[in-house]
Order: sequence, then C-alpha cells, then structure tokens
Amino acid sequence: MNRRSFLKKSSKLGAAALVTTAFPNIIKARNHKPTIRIVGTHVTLQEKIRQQAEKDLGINIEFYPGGSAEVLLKASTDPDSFDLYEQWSNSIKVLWQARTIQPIDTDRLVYWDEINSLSKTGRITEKARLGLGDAPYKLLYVQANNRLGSNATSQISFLPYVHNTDSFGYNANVVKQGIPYTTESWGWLLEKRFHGKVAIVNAPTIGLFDLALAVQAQGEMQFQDMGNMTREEVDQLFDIIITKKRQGHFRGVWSSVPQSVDLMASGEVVLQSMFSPGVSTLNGMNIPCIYAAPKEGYRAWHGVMCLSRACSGERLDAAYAFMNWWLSGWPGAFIARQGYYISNPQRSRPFMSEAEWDYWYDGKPAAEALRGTDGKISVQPGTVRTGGSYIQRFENIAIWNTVMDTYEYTLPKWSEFVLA
Amino acid sequence: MVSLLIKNIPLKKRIYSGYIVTGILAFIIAFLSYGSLSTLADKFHAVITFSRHVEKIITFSTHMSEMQRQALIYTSSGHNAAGERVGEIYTHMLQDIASIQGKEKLDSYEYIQEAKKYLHTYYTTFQEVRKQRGIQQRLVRQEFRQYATNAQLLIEEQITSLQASNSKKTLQYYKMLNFLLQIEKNAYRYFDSLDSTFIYLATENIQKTGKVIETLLKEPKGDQAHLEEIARVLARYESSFLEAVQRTRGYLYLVNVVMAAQAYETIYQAERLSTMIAKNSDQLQEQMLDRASAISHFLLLLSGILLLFISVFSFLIIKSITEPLNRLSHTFRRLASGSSEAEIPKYLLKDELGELTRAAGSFKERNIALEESRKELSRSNEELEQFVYTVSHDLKSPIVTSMGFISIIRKLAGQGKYEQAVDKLDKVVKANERMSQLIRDLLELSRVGRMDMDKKKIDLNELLASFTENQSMRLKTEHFSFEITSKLPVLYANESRILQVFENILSNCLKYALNDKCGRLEIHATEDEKWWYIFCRDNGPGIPTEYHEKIFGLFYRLDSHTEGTGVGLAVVKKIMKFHGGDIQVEPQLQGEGAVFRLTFPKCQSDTSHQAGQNSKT
Repeated sequence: MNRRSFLKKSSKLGAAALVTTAFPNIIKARNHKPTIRIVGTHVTLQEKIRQQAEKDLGINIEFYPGGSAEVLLKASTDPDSFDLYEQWSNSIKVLWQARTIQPIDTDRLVYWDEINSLSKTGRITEKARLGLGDAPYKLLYVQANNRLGSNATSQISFLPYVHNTDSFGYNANVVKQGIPYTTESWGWLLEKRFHGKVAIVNAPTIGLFDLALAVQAQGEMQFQDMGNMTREEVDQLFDIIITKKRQGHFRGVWSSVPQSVDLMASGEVVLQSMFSPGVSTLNGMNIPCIYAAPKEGYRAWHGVMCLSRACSGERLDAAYAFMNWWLSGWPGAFIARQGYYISNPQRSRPFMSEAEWDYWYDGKPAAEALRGTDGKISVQPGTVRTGGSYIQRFENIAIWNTVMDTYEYTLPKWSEFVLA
Repeated sequence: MVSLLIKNIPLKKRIYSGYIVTGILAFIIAFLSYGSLSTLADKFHAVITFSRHVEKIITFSTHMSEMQRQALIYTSSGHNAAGERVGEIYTHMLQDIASIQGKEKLDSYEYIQEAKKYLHTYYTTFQEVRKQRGIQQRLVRQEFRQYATNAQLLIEEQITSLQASNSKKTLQYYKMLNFLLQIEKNAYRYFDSLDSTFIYLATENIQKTGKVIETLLKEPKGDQAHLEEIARVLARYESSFLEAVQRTRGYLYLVNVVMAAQAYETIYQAERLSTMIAKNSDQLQEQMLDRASAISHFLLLLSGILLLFISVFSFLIIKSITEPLNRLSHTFRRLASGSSEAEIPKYLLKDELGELTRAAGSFKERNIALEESRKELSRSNEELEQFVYTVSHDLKSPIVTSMGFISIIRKLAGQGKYEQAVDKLDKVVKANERMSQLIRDLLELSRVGRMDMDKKKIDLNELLASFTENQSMRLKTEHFSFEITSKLPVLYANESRILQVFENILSNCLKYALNDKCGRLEIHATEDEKWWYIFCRDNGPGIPTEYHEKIFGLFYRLDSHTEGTGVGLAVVKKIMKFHGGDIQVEPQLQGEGAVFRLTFPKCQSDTSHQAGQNSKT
C-alpha cells in the first residue's frame, strides 16, 4: 500500500466515521431521512455534488441555486426558506447583520483543525500579503459581543471551504501576453489601447475593486483603505471611471459567466474581469484567454457555508453532517477540477491523481490530459496554470470581495457608471 | 433574309408580324421595366421600413432611459404612478419590438432578441423591486412603526405603574424609552440617507435596550411578564427593522445593479441594432442608386436594341414589299411600252403582290398575243402583197397567153389562115379555163375562214373512213392506198374543211407519186400535252428541204408540168391556221417520201370526247 492509497483508504474510513459520529440521530432513525434545503449559487450547488452527498450521508438534499443578489436577499430576509446557505464571504456581514444565520460550533466540525491559516488568519504563509477588505478571518469568529471578529472563539459565522483568486482575462490573440506578477497589471483595464473593448463584472462588491485596483495601478488615485473606501474616495473613483465610460472605454458590464464568455468570444471585448469557469470555457473554445496574475495582486473570494437561524433538530444535525462532508475529501477534489481550492486541501489530495494535484495545487505543468467536473478534457498535457501554485496565488492577494460600509452609497453610483 | 421573307411570308402577315414583334418587344421592355422598378420599389420600401425601424429604435433607447428614470423615481419616492409608468413603457417597447419583428425578416433578428431578453429581465427585476419595496414599505410604515409604538406603550405603561415608587427602576425604563427613540431615529435616518452607519447605531441601541431588560429581569421584584413582553416586541422590532434594511438593500441592488445592467444592455443592443439597420439602410440606398443606374442603362440599351431591331425589321419588311413592287413597276413600265419580253418577277405567294405579279403575267401574255397579232398582221400584209403579186402575175399569165394567141389568131385570120386560127382558139380557151380555175381556187381560198366554218366535234377515224370509201375508186384507179395506222383523235373542227385538208393532201400525193410503184399515204396520230399531231406520210420522191415552206405559198408548184394551180396546200395551210393549228413538212431523207405534220390544238372537251369515242370503239 503506497502513501496515496493509504491516504485515500484512511480518508474514506474517516468519512464513514464522520457519518456515524457527526450524525448520530440520523443513524438511529434508520427509516427516516431528513431533508435539508440549501440555497446558494451554481458554483457549488451542482447536481453531482448533491447526488454524491445524498449517497454518502443518506439524507435528502434540496438545492436552490440562484443569482447572487437573489439568494442573498432570500437568505437575509427569510431564514425559514433554507437550512444552509452557500455564497461568498462578502455576504457574511449582511447575513450576520440581518440575524438570519446562527453561529456554527467548531466542536461539531470534524475537520476544523485541518482548515488552513488562510481562512483563520488571512495569510496562507507567513510571508503572504494580507489582503484588504473583508478577509474571511475578519468575519469568521463570533465574538463575545455577538459581533464578528478575528479573535478565535468556539463559534464561527461560516464554514470556510471553497475559495479562489480572481483577476482579469485577456485574449492572447489580440493582446500580447504579459509576464505573470511582473508586467500583467490591473492597470490594463484602463489602458487606451483597449478602448471600447473592456468589460467589468456587474457587482459593486467585486467589480468596483477591479476598477479601484486599475485606477490605482494607473496612478490616477490612491486609497486610504481600498477595502473600506470613504464616500469621498467612492466619489472620486466613480468620477474617473464614469468619465472613461462616457468616453467609450468600456463595452459594458457582464452579469453572468456565459455573458462574459460571449463578450470575449464575439470579439466585442478583449480584456475584462473574469471568473475561472469563464476562462476555462473560452480555452475550451480554442480562444486563448489568459487569466492574468496581476503584479498588484489578486482579488480573492472565499466561499462560505452558513447555518440558517431557523435550522434546528435533525435538520441541524444533517446540516452539520453536510458541512463536514464538504471537508471530507471528495468534494474538495471535485471542485478542484474546476479550478477552485478547498480550505483543507490535503484531505482532498487522495481523491485526486498526482497529475491533477500537481497541476491544480502545485502549479506544475499537466503531466497528462486532465478532465473537468463534466468529464471532458479541460487541460491539455503540458499546460501550466497561470498564477502558479495555490500558495503563490494566495500569497498575492490584493483585496477580498467586500461589502463596504459605503455599500449603499456605491449602488446608485454603480448604476450611474453602468448606464453612462 | 429579304428573299426568305418574300418567299415564305405573305405581305399581310409580314406587316402584321412587324407590328406584333414590335409590340412584343415593347411589352418585354415594359415588363422588364416593371420588374426592375418593382424591385426598386421594394428596396425603397425596405429603406422606408428601415428608417421607421431606426426611428423606433432611437425612441426605444429614449424609452429605456425614461423607464430607468421612472424606476429610480419609484425606488426613491415610492410613487406608484412612476411604477405604473415603467409598465406602460415596457408594454409600448414590446409592441415596438413586435412591430419591427413582425413586418420584416431582419438580419438583426438576433440583436432584437437580445434586446428583448434584456428588456424582459429588466421588467421582471423591476417587478421584484416593486415587491421588495412593497414589503419594505410595509415593514417600515406598519410593522416597524407598530412594534416601536407597542414597545413604547409597554414601557410608558410600566413607568406609569411604577409612579415614583422606584425611581431607580423608573430611570431604567426611561433609559429604555430613550434607546427606543434612538433606534427609531437611527432607523429612519438609515432609510433616509442609506448610510449603513445608522444600522449599527440602531442595532446598538436595540442591544442596549436588551441589556436594560436583562438587568431589570434580574431584579427580585421585577415585572418579569411585562419585561418579557417588551423583549418579545423588541425582538420583532429588531427583526422587522433588519428585514426592512435587507429589503432596502435588495431592491437598491436590483435597481442599481441588475436593472441598470439590463437597461444598458437593452440600450446597447438597440443602438447596435440601430447602427446595423442604418448601415443596412445605407447599403440598400447605395444598392438602390446602383440599381436605378443599372436599370436606366439597361432600359437605354434595351431601347437602343429595340430601335435597332425595329429599324432592321422594318427595313426587311419594307424591302420585302418594295423590292417586288419595284420589280413589278419596272415590269409594268416595260409591259406598258408594249414589250412582250418583260421579265415577270418570280413571286409564288398568293397575296396582293402575287395578284399583281399574276396581273403582270396576264399583261405580258396579252402583249405577246398582241405581238403575235402584229406579226400575223405583218405576215398577212406580206402574204397579201405576195398574193396580189402572185395573183396579178399568175392571172396575167393566161391573159398574156390568151392575148398572144388572140393576136396570132387575128394575124392568122388577117392572113386568112382560118383553120390555123381556129386551132389556136383552143389555146385561148385553155388559157381562159386556167384563169377561170385560178379564180375559183382563189375564191375557194378566200372562203376559208369566212364560209362554211362552223365547228363541231368530229371523229377523225370516222371522217377518214368515210373519206377513204368515197375515194376508193380514185385510189383504185391510181393504184394508191390510203391507210390509217393508229387511232385518230376527235377534233373540234369544221368537218368539210378538215375533209378538204385530207383531199388536198391526198391530191398532192397523187400528183407527185412515183409512177413506178404503188403510191401510199399513211395516216397516224400522236399527241402531247397540248397538241394532236397527225402525220401524213407518202412514199413519193419527197420534198427538198428548201421547199418545205415555199410549197405552202400561193400558186407555188414544185413541178410546173404537173397539173394544178398551186393553191391546194395554201388552202390547207389557211384551214389549219383557222383551226389554231398548222401544217409543216417533216424533214426526211431524200427518197423517203414526204411527211406532212398536221397540228391541232387540244382542248378538254376534245380530250374527253376522244376518250369517249375510244371507249366506244
């Protein structure tokens, strides 16, 4: 038995133990299957995951995927409509403030200790940059005053699990390929050579930071704290970008990954904010979309899983079981195949081939053709993931997706920008 | 080409065909012009449609902007009229899209669909905004206010009940009341300013109120039930406030992020559509100009070709008419001048020119006949002169002879030689008899054509059979045979004159028959399309070629020693001429006898009669 098979076997045994220890009530009630409702986005609410979880846990799981705004509104106003909520860490402030989620006991999380320091301290390594904005660790722990903070307690506001870094993508057929972390810069978003061919993700808590990073990279303005801009900084930033929008610099904004793919595939856009699946799709269409590694650092996001305030009893047990299942290995390996990372990667490693691990986590060239979550080949042999390894990527976080205090103030400004 | 027309197409058809072909070509030009102009009209219609579409799409963008403006008014003020206006504009825009889609199949269909999709999402989102704002308004204006009032009333009620009995506790309740006011103030400040700082302040005051309740609950003579009621109301108060905050954030996000993006994309697609349609319209207008130019060139070329064709065709038609007319007029001029040799142009068609040609032919025939008559007259005159000369010469001869003998008789009588004189009287008598015979023969000759010339159908077989019988004695005496060796025709002629012809021929044969062998006259007949030929062959010495014509002259005799006046064959010639025929001597070798060929014209009745006669025999 080699190391990998040993790990794989031990992980599976661990998962079995997980079911029996973390979900005792369900095991007892053999003839009764509780049902949990999970609201979230398509990023993690995938049918294969649901089926695998039902199979592994012996419970009924209902997924309610939707758009970011839709699911956030639902989660922040109607805790009775869900048991678990899966979205981004930047929604935590809203949800916690709305009192629609309840704290999660770390004692009931089987793999809590395996969760790496990125989620707990904000740094993947000692030398890593601490990203601006709502880094997940800042909102992770429930403090004594019932507020969220970074001081470790036994209760957390969300389960850290899926995360990734985002940047902009560009069409290498049109734009000369840059050098990762050296020449590639957020400032490209505002370069005149791409006039009329630039698009931004239509989300103030995300796209606004792409623009802020670009404006700062171009030296057009500096922020006191980009992760929590003042109203004056917001005004100045929007003055700059609205002027550029009126000059026709931006093609527009995109509201979904398919739309971002269409924009670049049609040639309307050559450079834009992008998400990892969009880049993979374009590469699958033989459009050489390069996912940049900006020298200013990435805009990172962290997936969070929250417990509804209304969740209790066997549904609460089932919800904990589902959270533990997510960190048990298979889901982390599954999600890695679409470019996302899990907070306890070593647990997923046995469920991945060596080539997969090397490519997705270690930033090495793919030793063989790798398949995506849909079973189709998504990575050709020899390909190297832009941005390097998992560690290198998360050592270079410029900012986290954030709901700033000026969130409401930015909304009409954002509208003005979009319609300019 | 002209000769082909002349040979094959009658005059009227040529003229009609000229008009018809010209008409067809004019129709083709008109048809092609109609087709070209129709295409042009279609393109023009498309340009107009495009212009209308561009106009609509321009208003489309305006409508979209207005819709977003009304949506923002609704969001900020909550005016239902603004919300209703968004719906009205949406419906109007859908109608515009339907009208653009319905009328024309555009290349830009994809863009219209895109714009429609974004518009639909926009309006659906706005419906959600209205829903969220409605809930927010209910929370803020009813629930939130109600809970605030309830909490305040509960606290004030407790303050009243406490009176001044427990000033410390009363102070705590007043503190709670103050926190409640702070919650309400900050909450409404948040809804007014949308500054999230006030959310924290409001929730902080909620927590402070909660802490006061907790403190009061710990007191021994606390009003637990009352305080728990205040805590429940406070929890609902907080819940409704926080929900109102999230509903506010929700619809603000929907309006400012989702709807703004949909509105922008709708406008963008509309503008792109407008640009595309304008570009298409420009292209179409250029195509129209090119087309119009091409049509004008085409029509000009076609008109030129038509003109050329009509010219050539007219030339050919005119030529096909004037050419035979010119030839005919030339012919008529020659015919009018009396020419019988004018060439009649060949024209086989039975049309007006054919009639003229045939008339010219008749004219020529008349001229020929006239020429023949003239020649005949001339010949007659010559014959008459010859006749007069001959008659005067031949009649003079017996007179001279008589006068000579009378002079001799007178001389002999003067000398008293009466017997000799009387002997000479016979000479005078003979001379007178000869002159008398000459005069009779002349009389007979003059009668031919004037007297006894009634014609009827006569069967020559019967006539000559009867003739042979009548001449049998004479023939027998002369040892002469008369043989008919073939069937003879039925002729339309004067029987006595025809009989006279054969009598004279027979007499002629008898006169010149060789004495050392039996004489013979063979009669046989042949025919061709127009003529009967009766051959009379004897076995005499023949007639030298140089006399073949002369022998038919008056008083001409081959041998002056033979009896006769030399009028017989002249009579035969005249009889044959009278019957439209002729008599000629067939050339023969010396010693093979003479052959007279009688020529009788055929006629239908003759032929049929001959057939009838033949069938009888």
